[in-house]
Amino acid sequence: MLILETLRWGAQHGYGISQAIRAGSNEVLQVETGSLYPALHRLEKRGWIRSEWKSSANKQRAKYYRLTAAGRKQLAQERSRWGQMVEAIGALMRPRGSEVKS
Amino acid sequence: MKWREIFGRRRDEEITEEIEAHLRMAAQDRIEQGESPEDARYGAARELGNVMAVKEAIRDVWISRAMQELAQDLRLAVRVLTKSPGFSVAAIALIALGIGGNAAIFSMINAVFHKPMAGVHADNLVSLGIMKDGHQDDPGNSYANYVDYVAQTKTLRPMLARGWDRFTVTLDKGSYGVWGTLVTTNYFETLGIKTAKGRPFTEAEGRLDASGLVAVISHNLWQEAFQEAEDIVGRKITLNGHPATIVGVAPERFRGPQVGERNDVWVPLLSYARIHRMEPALHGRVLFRDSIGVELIARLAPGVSLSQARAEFDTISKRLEAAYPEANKGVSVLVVPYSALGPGITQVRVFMKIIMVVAFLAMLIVCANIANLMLSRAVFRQREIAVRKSLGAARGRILRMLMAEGMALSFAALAAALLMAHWASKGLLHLASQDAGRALDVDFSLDWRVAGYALALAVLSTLAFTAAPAIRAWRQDPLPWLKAGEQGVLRGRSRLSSALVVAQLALCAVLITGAGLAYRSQYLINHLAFHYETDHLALVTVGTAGSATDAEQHVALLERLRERLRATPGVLAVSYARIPPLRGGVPLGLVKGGAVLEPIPADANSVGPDFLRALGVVPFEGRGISETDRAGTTRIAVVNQNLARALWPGQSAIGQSFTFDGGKQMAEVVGVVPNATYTDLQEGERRNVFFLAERQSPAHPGETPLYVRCAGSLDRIAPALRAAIRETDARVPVFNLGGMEADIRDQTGPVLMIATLLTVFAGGALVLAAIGLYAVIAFNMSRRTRDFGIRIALGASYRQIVGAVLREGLVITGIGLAAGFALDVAGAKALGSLLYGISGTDGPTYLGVFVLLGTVSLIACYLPARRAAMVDPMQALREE
Repeated sequence: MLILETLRWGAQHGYGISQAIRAGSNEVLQVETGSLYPALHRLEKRGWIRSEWKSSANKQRAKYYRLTAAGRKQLAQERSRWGQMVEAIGALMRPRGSEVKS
Repeated sequence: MKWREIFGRRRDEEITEEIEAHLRMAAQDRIEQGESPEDARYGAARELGNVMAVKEAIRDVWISRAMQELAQDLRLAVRVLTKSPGFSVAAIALIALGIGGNAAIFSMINAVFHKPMAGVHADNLVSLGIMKDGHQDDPGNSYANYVDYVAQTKTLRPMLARGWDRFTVTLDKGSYGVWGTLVTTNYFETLGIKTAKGRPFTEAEGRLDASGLVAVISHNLWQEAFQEAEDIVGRKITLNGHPATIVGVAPERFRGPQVGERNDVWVPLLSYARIHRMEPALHGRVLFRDSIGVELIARLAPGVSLSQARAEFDTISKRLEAAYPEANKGVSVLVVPYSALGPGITQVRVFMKIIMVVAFLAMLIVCANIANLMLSRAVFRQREIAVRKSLGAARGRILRMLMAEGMALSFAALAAALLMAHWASKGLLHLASQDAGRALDVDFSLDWRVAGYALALAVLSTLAFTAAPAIRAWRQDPLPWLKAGEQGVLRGRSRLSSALVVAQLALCAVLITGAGLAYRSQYLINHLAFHYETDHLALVTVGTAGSATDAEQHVALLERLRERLRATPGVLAVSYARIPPLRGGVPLGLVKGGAVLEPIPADANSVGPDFLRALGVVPFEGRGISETDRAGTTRIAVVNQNLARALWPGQSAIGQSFTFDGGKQMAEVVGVVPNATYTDLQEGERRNVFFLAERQSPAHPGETPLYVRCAGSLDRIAPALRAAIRETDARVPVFNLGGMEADIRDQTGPVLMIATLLTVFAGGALVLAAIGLYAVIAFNMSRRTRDFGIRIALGASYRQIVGAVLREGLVITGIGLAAGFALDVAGAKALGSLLYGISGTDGPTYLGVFVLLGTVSLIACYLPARRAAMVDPMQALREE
């Protein structure tokens, strides 16, 4: 979902995606590069993202990924699911009265 | 997923490039953050982790693991197989022979069973067969029933009826004898055939009151008799003495909807019957409900299924059975999809089934043999497999590896087999054409059905011969194999491979028995006691219908022909009969007279003067039929000894009389002849036979065989015979001219062909089985070298060792033979119908097979046994 989210604003290559996730989460989330690429290919196979070769900003050939319509729909679904989950976990973790919020 | 994507390198390159781009960009960033280029590259790589593993993970996304492993297995299999080329080539050749032989035979059967005759539009076409008392019968039906079917059916439309006849076509230049079909006028429409010239029949032309006779002729006749004249439509042609108008010419290759049909003319059935009202056989064909004169083909009406038609005809059959119990008792109509072979149970069908079974048995033997080969290889690879297992290969994976080896073998063989089948079927066609004396118009080419069949065979055989080693590998416990050396633990192999050898021997016994039976039957035919000379006897079939119009003229013409032929140099005696030899008798019902109270069956033939002399039979008592036996004199008969003994046991038959034809006719015996093979090849001397004088009760004009006894070779005298007939009456065509011996050969041809075929297959099977047996025994011996060494060291004699080994082999042979004979007896009935003079369970043949297989297996076992007994005990004991 993170990958899809990153691609929401436009096409990006693999390295760019990893940097974006790292930057976007204030360095908290570090996507392990080794699993990033298989994940990208899996998404592509499912038809949620599409890839094409392009020249990057500094004139290097790189594979850019972009969201497809199906990917956009999937992202919307996952966002709402994620929202529900956050709420649910939040409700569970909320201190029952006495305990101090950390 | 595309093939390219699986095996191509494009995706691999892209992945590599993508990763490299990533590394470059990551390093770039690090450099910008102040790291040294070297540190930057190193750091970027460390961040990514194992490059190979990442690539592998990406590839897995696209290609399922199973696919990759399959490719791996196949690669490995090819490598393993090319390592032992001898084994692989032998195995591939064997499988290719097996599959190729099967495919060739299948393509032949496919051609005959599934391909329609040229020109016939076969979609939704059905043939109507006959079931009588629950058994499939000859498909002949009556025209009367046909009329009722057409009136009542809603599912089959249109429906045609057809009956064959010989026709004498008279032209200015002379007469042709041709085959023709009497048809209902919708014949061409039903079969979906458009005429090449003119038109098919109209409905009016087929009515009983149609004004004149019309005909459609074949393209062939149009070419040969009319030189492809453009104005053919409307011209006259004389058929069996009656003028007919040609209305159309059939398309070029169409000669009839069934294999073997060679029609040259088609005429409407009813109007032809009206013109021929004098001919009782034809009359009966149209009028009588118990006639079997026509066969029916129909097309399913649009939207109707075969089962609907079947259901409807079950009710129609029941209705007609109730309405006409005498003729239709127990008769029901069988609706089957049209095939060029027709709906009956013909000898061809039995013949083809036998060939198919033989080829399949051969394939099984090949599979058993390959399985055994694979098994012995597996033994030597048990360590390899044990190592694989201990390194963590799953059982399923090892199974797949073995399967892949089998598959590589089978598919290499498949390619070779299809090529072989292609040639073999061409060869078969050539052979069959030579046999039939003309080019057979059957399309034997390989089509998708044949290819599919071969593919299925390849897959099945792979399963069959990889199963045995796979089972072993599955069960195997790797531990002892890792601990011990090669010689250590070769145990427990023999039972499985012995079973395979038993199977081979059993199947081999079946094939050899079949070949033996066929040959013995052939031998019996060649040495059949005909009690007359079959050589120097010419059979000349002529048609009298173009010249004679009634029975008196017919017999007068035959007498003229007899006189003229007798004057030809080299001719010793001439006569004629209603029915040619070995083709059954005139249907004259049961015979009653003398001592018998209940009428008994007998075959009759009605013959001309001098018949016995022409055949070369000398009467025991009395005389033969002579020129004085003519119309107006007392009906006389010549009987064979069987009939004489049955009717008047212990007394002379001469001067006695008997009745036949349901008591309506009577004849006095003037001569007794020996029991010879007159009417039936198979039953021959056991039948009751009597001969009547044709001139005392002549038949209507038609096809008649002349019997000509010659002094010299038939080939030399044949032109003189033809010339003599032409001089006597140019309107008499010669349908057929050939020797009696050739005629017998034609009748027994299928048996000889089966015998040849079985011999080829049986010979191959015998060699394979012998090799299989030898291999098993030899392998067991090599495994027990030490055992024998110890025995010899302890004082066992040569004889004892050989005996022990032989016993082992002979037990296997014994079981195999017993199983084979059991199969033989089970299959004897099928083969029995094609055999002459013996049954499918012929003792001498079985004995011969027993001796042959016994000897061969003795030799196969003796060689390893001798080697075992020659073992040097010191060497054997030191080996470990």
